[in-house]
Amino acid sequence: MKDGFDRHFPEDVWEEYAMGMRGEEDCKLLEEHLLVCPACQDLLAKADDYLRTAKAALSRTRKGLSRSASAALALAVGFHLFQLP
Amino acid sequence: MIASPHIQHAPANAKDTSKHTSAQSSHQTPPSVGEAADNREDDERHAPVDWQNLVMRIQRGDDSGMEDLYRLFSRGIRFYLCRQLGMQELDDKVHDTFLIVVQAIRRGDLREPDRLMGFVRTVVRRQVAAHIDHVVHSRRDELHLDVGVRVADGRRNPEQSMAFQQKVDFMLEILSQLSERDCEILTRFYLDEQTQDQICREMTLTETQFRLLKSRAKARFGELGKRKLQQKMLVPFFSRVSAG
Repeated sequence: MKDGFDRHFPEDVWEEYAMGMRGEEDCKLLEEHLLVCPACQDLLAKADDYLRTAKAALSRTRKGLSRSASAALALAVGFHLFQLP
Repeated sequence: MIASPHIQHAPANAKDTSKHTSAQSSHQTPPSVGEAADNREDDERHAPVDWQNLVMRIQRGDDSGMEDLYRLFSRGIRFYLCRQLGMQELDDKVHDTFLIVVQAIRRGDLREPDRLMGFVRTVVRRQVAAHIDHVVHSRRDELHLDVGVRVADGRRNPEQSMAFQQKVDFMLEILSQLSERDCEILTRFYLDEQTQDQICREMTLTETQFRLLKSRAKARFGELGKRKLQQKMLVPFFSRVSAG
C-alpha cells in the first residue's frame, strides 16, 4: 500500500485556502487531501510563510506611505500658512 | 485494491464545489479545487489505498493495519494540529487523535471505510475545537485563580524572528522595485483581503494580469531568497580563502 496521491493542488489554491477564500466544500476536499499528502502540506506551509511575510512587508510599506503622505500634507499646510497675509 | 474515494469522486466534487463557491460569493469565482487538481493529474500517478482492507485490519486488531494508518495519517495530522494549535504538547495531541480514530473504527462507528479520510478530518477538527474550548475556559479560570493551562506561545524564538525579518526585508526590496499600482494590487489582495474579482473590476485588470503580477512577485521573492542564501553560504568560504 502506498500513501502517495496523484493530484496535487497548485500553490494558488493553497494560498486562497490559507486566506480563508475557499468555501466549505472546497475546504473539506482540501483538508482531506492534506491529511495524506506531504507534497501539499509543504505547499500550504510555503503559502502560510509567504502570506505572513507579504502582510508584514505590505503593512510596513503602507505605514511608510501614510507617513510620507502626512509629511507632505503638513508641508503643504505649513506653506499655505506661511503665505497667509 | 480499490481507488481512493478522493480521486474517484473528484469530478462530482469539482462540480459541487464550483457551484458552492459561485453561490457563496458573487464577487469571487476561483477555479474549483477539483479543476485545479485535474490540471496536474496527468503528470503524477498514485497508488490507490484499499480503505476497506485497512479498516478491516484495524477492526481485527492487526498490527499492520495500525502501522499503515499511522504511516498514512501521522504527518498530516501532526501538520494540521501544529498549524492550528502550535507546537505545544503536539505529540500528545497526535496520540490522542489516533486513539480516538482507532477506538471509533473498532467500535464500528465508521460505516463506510471509503470515507476514512473524511472521518479522520472530522476527528482532527473536533480535537482542535475541543482544545480551543479548553484553552478559553482555562483562560477564564486563570483570571480568577492565576493558575492553570498555559495558552500556546505563538511567538518566535530570536533565530526565527531574525529569519522572518530577513524575509520581510527581501519582500520590501521586491516591493520597492514594483510600480505604485502593482503595490496597490498586492496590498488590496494580501493586506485588505479584497477578492480577485473586486480588485480586477476596480483597477481594470484582467484575471490573467492579476495572477501574473502575483506569481511574478512570488517568483522574485523565491529568487532573491535563494540568491541571498547563496551569498550567505559563500561569505564564510571567501573569508576562509582570504585568511588561508
